[in-house]
Amino acid sequence: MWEFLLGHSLWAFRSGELAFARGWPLWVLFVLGALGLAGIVATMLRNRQLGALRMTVLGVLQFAFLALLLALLWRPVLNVERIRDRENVVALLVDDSGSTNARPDVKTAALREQAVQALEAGVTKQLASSSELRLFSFSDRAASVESLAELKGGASATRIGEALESMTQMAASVPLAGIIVVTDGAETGGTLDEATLARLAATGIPIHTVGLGPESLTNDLELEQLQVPGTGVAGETMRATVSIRHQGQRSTRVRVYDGGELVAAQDVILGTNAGLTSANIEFPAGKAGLRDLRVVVDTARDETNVANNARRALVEVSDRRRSVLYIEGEPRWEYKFIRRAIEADKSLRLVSVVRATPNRYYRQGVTSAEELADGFPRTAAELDSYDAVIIGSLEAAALSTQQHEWLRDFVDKRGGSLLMLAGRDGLGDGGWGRVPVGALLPSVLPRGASPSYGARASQVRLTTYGAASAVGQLDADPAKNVAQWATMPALADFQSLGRLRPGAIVLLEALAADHAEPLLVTQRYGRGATWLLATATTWRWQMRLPLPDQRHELFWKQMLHALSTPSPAQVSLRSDHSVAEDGPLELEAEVLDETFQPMPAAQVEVTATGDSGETVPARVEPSGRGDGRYNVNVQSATPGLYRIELKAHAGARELPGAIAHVRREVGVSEHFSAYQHRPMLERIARESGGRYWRLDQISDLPEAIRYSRAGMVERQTLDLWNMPLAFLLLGMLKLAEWLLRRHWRRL
Amino acid sequence: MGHRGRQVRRQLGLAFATGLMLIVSVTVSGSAPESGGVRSPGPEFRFVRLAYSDNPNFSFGRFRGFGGGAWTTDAPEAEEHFMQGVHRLTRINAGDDSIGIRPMDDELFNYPWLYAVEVGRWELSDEDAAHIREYLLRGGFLMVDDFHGSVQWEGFMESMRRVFPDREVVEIPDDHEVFHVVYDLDHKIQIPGIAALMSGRTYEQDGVEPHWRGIFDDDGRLMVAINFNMDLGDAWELADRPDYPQPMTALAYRFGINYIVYSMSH
Repeated sequence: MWEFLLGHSLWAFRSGELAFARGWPLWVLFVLGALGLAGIVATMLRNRQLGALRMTVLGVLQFAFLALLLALLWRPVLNVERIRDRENVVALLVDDSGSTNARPDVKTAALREQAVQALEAGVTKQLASSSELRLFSFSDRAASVESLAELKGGASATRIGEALESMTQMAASVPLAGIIVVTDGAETGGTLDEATLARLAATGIPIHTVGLGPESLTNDLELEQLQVPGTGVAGETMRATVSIRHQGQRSTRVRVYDGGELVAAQDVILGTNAGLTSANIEFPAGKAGLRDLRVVVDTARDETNVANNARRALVEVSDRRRSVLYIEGEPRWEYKFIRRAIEADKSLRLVSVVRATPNRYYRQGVTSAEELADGFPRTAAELDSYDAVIIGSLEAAALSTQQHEWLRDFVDKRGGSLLMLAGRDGLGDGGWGRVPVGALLPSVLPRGASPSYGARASQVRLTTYGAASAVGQLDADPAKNVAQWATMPALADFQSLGRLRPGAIVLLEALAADHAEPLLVTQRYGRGATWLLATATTWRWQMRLPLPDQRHELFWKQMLHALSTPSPAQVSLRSDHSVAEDGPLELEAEVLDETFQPMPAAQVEVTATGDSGETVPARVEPSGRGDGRYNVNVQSATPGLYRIELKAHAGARELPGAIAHVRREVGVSEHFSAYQHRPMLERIARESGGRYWRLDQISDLPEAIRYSRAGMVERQTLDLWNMPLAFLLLGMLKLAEWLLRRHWRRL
Repeated sequence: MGHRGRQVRRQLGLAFATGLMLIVSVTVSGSAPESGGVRSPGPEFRFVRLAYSDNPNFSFGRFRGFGGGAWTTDAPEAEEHFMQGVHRLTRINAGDDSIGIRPMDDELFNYPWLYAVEVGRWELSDEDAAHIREYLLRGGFLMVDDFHGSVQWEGFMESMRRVFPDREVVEIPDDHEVFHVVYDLDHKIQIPGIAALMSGRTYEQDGVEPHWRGIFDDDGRLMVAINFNMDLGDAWELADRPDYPQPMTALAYRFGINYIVYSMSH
């Protein structure tokens, strides 16, 4: 009806620009309008018996009539750009991935069928009537199709970004007026990032997104994320962090299986206010070897999509405990309580030495009478045998120049971590800002004569970076985690760290009175990392919290794991994802010599074997950056567990080998996030100049495409003076005036 | 003695203890001078006495009738002398003086090392005992000293059973780390109180044999070091007296230092 009244499509009004085509000066229009208004006012003043209110109403009606009439005399037009008929191409891209097989409920058709039905109810016909319509299906790749009947569903991945980019490339050879993409927006291939969105927007081709499926699922539990450390040590207790998406359920049970054996189970209370709940599940690492984990969330009653209730992960469990060396210059409570905190952690070996008397180094955790007999490793190789070093209240002068150099190389070349603690002889007050190690630290330590270490009661605050780091995780729930830190007992001391270096990351802050200062800071240096902790009274957390409260222990366990985990082996082979869900099997190898220098020219061979022992092709290529790294690609599409063994040689010299495992899963990712990601679809449309459409609105889509500004367009001037709506308005204004006058008996 | 009399005596004792603690606390709070805008953190180690109440059933001799105060025995000379030794012989940043803390005082948790003397006469209520138990299990360390004979042992155990009803008191083996952490204390001798020594003996009452006993936590760490039938406090206190045997004083210092370093490392 609106199009009849307006005389043109609504899309013309949405995209066009209003103008007057008569060519007469606009000021004449305003002058005539003003004169008319004056005449109306003068007439009304002569008929005062009507009363002020009635005169005003009649005056407004008369002026509106006059203004509209004058406007029509000036010939209003709409300048629009619209695609030239039959000279443009429109790409229609329909999601054909496995997630489109889903049925929102048993009574409805699959999402893909709903989409085809809606498109074939006139939309494709209208599109084809004005442009050349090219049909495509997409899942893990985009492919041209003759008709929508070819869509079968069931493909194992959704790569929206890649599919859209391949469509925009078409614009180089044909006038592409627009892209219509019909999808649930559940990208599983990682191809829809910020850079892709920017490139799509830069093409100027409007992308119209049509949302498929419900925006949230009812009665579904989904194990959205599973985080498990890739390595463990035999006998330790490991932790899996699960994020469960839920709708209305109150609780569920999470089970951890190693192969077919149940190794842990835990009830998880699901948050009432959030659709996503995170929880930590502890499980035993067991003996050395590969843990093929499957973490399962119990199904909800009548849950239809149960494939998204489980995820897998691999953990390489070794016999080698991570070694941390702790050197303390004097007996301190912090020393005692750090030792106690990690004592139960079988994955860590804390070797410590404390200068108890001027002539007595007291050692704990050593494995031989010689180890640390002099209070410090006797050789650089002995120092390099540790993964991390902690230095407490020990003055820098206690170490020789050579020992300082070893310590620097330990971080820079070996890739170890160094944590320095506050203390009367620690950090700046211990002269650590004036030795080579000082240059490695995340801050320029104070060098003044006045002490930087003193008494100060302060609370701890977790920073944004701290919340994202493994060290800051006291609770899997982000809000509870912040609260856990905020309620820690006050620290009793503080040591100024000086000016932070540009690469420093503050994980914790000390809050005192009206200001906050960095408390725990870290930065990468060379191959390793350095850390500063501006307190030596975290032991108060242990002494001032009730016995069952494990926050002190947890902090130090995580701290020491963070210190020791990144320490690389001489030859290593690792993958970002131990389980490749519908993605390629890619790993990275690193080959270093005995002094941990990169070996970019080593001869590296890789052997990959599948579940049944068959060898599968694997390709190794140097990274090309001269950093001793090699890209490993296992070329197999078959799902299963793969063992990848790396052998390296430097000339005739054999280097240590490395073994890694990866699992390939097919058809898994489509079961996750299987709801409509409307915010993402709206963003794609907004940034490209298109529009987001619900499936039940797409009958208007062909008309919107006609007013696209991409492809071959023509400029048109549409007259508005002859709009039926204008004449209707003129008539209604006069009719209203006549009826009012009749009613007031003033005809 | 009626219940009311006992109550009055306990209140007087607590008032006395609190007064002494306040005096000491004032001394402590004034011992952290400002330097360059940073307030000194103070000593890492403080000699802390447990300001317990006396057990009227086991209060004999000099403290009987005073309503408490056995916890102040040998103070302050014992710790003043001993702390000088700690300064001289170790790298521990130790305070010169001592502080007294009542069992129920929350401040207790700021001092993970605790000394209780004349524990044959102590009395810990159920609340006191629960507080001390929590303190020890969180990581605190208790050294008890200067009690002798079977009667005082029973007095000690009456309260200690409230602290740990289900933990055994055992002899600390000679090869335990607490006897080797700084000094190798392989040759142990009874360290007598001055009164016994003046009477020509090294023991008091029927406490002929010295015992180094302990209570351990679930991980095998020593939580309570029990010096039974000996008096390290007197040996520290009388370190400057020519008539107290120097080898016994030296050994008392060594035991004390080993206890402290052990408690600061385990």
